[in-house]
Amino acid sequence: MPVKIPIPYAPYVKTSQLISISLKPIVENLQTTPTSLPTAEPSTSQWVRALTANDFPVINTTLYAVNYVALVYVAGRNTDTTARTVYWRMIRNGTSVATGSTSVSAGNYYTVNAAFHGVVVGDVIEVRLWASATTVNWDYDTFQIHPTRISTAEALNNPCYVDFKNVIVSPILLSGTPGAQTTGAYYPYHLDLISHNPNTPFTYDLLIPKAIYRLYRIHHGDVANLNTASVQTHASYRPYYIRHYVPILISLVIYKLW
Amino acid sequence: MAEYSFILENFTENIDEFDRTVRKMIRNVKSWSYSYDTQTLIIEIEEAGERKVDELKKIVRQCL
Repeated sequence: MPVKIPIPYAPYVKTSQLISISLKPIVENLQTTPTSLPTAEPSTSQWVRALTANDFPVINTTLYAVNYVALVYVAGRNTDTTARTVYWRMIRNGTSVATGSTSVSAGNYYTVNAAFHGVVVGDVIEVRLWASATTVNWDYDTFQIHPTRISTAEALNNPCYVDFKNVIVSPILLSGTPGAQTTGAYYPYHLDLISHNPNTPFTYDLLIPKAIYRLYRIHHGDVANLNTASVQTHASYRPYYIRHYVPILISLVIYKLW
Repeated sequence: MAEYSFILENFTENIDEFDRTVRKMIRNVKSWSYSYDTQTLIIEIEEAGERKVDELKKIVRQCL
């Protein structure tokens, strides 16, 4: 007579975690007198920043992994009566990250929306500009660092109930004549596959964060424009910028099987 | 406005020359960008209708 062994319930440990993210305040610089752009690529960049720990968001808990994206906005105007071309280059630690050019109509403003993915403390990042005529200038800059692809050690590879409890729009730029070109959603992931992209607080009964995308990705600088820039032009908006929804309070209930 | 993107393994450092050539060979280019990290070239063209990416890629290669 065979002995039947009862199948036990899958044993697990239930753990609760609350991830709180505090972005650093934006500092916008608007020059009183705009600076003309050179007509050849300069050897020194107009915008240079050596990133310090103070530039990075404060996160209340120890994360297993997080990537940081530095969003840099540099803007100016083509004051000419004819269209001109603005050239740009993004540089990280002396190496080109991306480059490009944009045609700017007569009298219009341009904004370089640059996104450096994977920055760390000590990185030196730069945005370099030049133009087809000195009648193109620049007079605005700011930056902010956002976290993306975060996970705690406990959450990675385990079933999680995830409540994106508080979601904000960031950055919100106020200097100059600002206009938001895009406000991108955030992108929660399950098994490294996208679920959907909400723009409000949202609850998921089950997400299993995996190694590549973890809990979520931000829009600008990760899902879109990863290590490149999007240059936006407008007749009156400067900066004309890409921003996104950022989860800043995430509640997790982790079911760790053993 | 139409946006086209494709992978280009090797890209030039001579941006001004590339820009002049690409704007001469492809009409109505609004902007282009190249990420050395993802090796992706994105071209925005101000016109209605669609172009074949393969043909654009062939033209861009001639500009390098």
